[in-house]
Amino acid sequence: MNSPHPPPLPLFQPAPPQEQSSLSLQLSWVIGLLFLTVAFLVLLLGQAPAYRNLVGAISINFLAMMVEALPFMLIGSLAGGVIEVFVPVAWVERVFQRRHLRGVLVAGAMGLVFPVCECAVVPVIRRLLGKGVPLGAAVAFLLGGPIVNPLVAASTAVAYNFTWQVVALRLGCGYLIAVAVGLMLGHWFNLDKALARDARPAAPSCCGHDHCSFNGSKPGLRAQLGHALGHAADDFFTVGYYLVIGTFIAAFVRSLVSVEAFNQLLAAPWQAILLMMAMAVVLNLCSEADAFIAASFRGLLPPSAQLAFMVLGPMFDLKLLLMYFGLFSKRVILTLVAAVLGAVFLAMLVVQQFFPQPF
Amino acid sequence: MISRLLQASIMAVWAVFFLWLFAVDQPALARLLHPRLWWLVLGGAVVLLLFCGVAFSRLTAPDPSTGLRWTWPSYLVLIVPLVYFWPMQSARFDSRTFLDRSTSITALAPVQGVATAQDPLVPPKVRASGSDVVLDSQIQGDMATPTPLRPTGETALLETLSSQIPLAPPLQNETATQDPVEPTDESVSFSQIIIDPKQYTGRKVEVVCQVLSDQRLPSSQFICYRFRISCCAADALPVYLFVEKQGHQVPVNDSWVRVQGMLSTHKVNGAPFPLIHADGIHADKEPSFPFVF
Repeated sequence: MNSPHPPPLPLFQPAPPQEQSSLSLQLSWVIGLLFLTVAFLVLLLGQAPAYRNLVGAISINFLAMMVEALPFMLIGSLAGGVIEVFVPVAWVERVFQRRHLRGVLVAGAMGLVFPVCECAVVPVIRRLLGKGVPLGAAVAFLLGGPIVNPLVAASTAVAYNFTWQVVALRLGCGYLIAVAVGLMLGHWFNLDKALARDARPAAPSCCGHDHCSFNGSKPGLRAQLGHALGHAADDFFTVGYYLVIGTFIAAFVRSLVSVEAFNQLLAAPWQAILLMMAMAVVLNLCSEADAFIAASFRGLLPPSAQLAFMVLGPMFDLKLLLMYFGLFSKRVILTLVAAVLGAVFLAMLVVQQFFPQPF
Repeated sequence: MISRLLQASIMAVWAVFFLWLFAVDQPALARLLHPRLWWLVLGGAVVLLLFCGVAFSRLTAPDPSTGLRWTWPSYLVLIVPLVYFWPMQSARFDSRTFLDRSTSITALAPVQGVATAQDPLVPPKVRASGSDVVLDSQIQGDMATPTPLRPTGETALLETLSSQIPLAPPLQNETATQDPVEPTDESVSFSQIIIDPKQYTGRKVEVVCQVLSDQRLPSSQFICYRFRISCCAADALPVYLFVEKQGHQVPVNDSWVRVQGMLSTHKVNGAPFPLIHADGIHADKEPSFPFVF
């Protein structure tokens, strides 16, 4: 006999996995395999007495950076998960989308209120972009957050014996460059085209997790927290993958290339600036430590070169470059990198003009 | 379900690793991270355990990600740092790291072929003009047989090294940097001497450090060095002073020694340079905190 009641509406089911993977997924697969091969070979090489010291140094640098960076990334993922679940889209629209310029100007300085390191900011930005924060504001926070914050100001002050001019220059240049690049990218790119496939929201009204349903009821706090943790855990795998590869490359270069090798290439201030920018990219230091490294070059390099190291490092390095692949499309990454490098170089040339004397 | 299980397992392994470092293997943690950041390791473990709990609770939920066929390399990538913990345990920073991370030591830098056939991957350093001495202090375990330098060589070395003296900030958490000392006239740490050698000139001091002996130094002297970190071992920079051994035998390179003696300073280009006239040089074990802060 037929039941008098209609069958219940099915709960939302996430989309089935794709039958054929995209080019970016295949590329990611190849990169992963390549990295695993290289890492395994380096490990084997360390068994030979001739290479034991070198591989030992790589291991120390690699582990040290991972043990420091991974917890920050986890904290960032947690913050991103909370943003995903608890920050309403309407609030984001109210704050950021009405006045684009104001949104970028505010985002560039948000690190003063929400200090965040470069490892933690990427998962946070992923969630903010998914909430509808405009690309320009997101990029301004991405670049400005790790440098325009009180912790970096404090470490810079300590490294330079409380020479406040250095602190002001570092934070000021960082803010202006973050805002400028944010405005540029916001103007040139559409948010839909700017994000990597993995970073795009799964559905406009639901994240695709199994507790979403179309029956309209709002889940309780416990379910929401579980939801936030679920998002955060997914970020651990997406962002952590690139963090590991970037950190390994950084540790490899750090162990192989001596600081003195950079000194051999100096001839003019603009060369010193370029050199320190290159060093910032390959050394991958956290934004609190790089001030002490830069300060060790006092008396050897012009102030603009030291500042180039301190401004570029938190915005862009090998580790961040790899993490960007989980966030932006390749075209945006290319534009972002070119814009940041160009802006930092030009800004430091201006600094060299107005502040040629040593700090 | 297998993907979810793998994800949960990876997070569990990392959580256990962090807890192991924090609770059991603190000597290893001390060689990686500044103590003021150790809370990060504990925090990371807690967050990972939370993620782990959520992942286990979702084991039977449909997995929206692509198949395991495409994701297994990314899971293995996340395990790679844990595998590198094994060679890290016996690895140490040594005189090679000292030279690699020193800025402006052009007098010490010129080494063709790294002075050892053991690590051809390390790029040969450019010869400085006028110097053709091979640095053999990087040879592990060998007793250095220093040859007396010409006076101009020593002056050049000191002049170059003088700009390397770090103008370090006032230290916090001084207790973490204090080496266990036998009674001397003044209990002074290595860091305090480096920061302000003039303050301790004329006093008897005792320091624990690693040895770097080099042919370009006078035969009676060696460098007593350690590494200073701000956040983690990756940003470690060498800090050092000189020791006048006064008849004592030169210790093995990179070995840990305890040096007692009177502190004096040399001025080079107006900057004070610490020098200990050693009364006693004894072999010592690696401190529990090998870095200074």
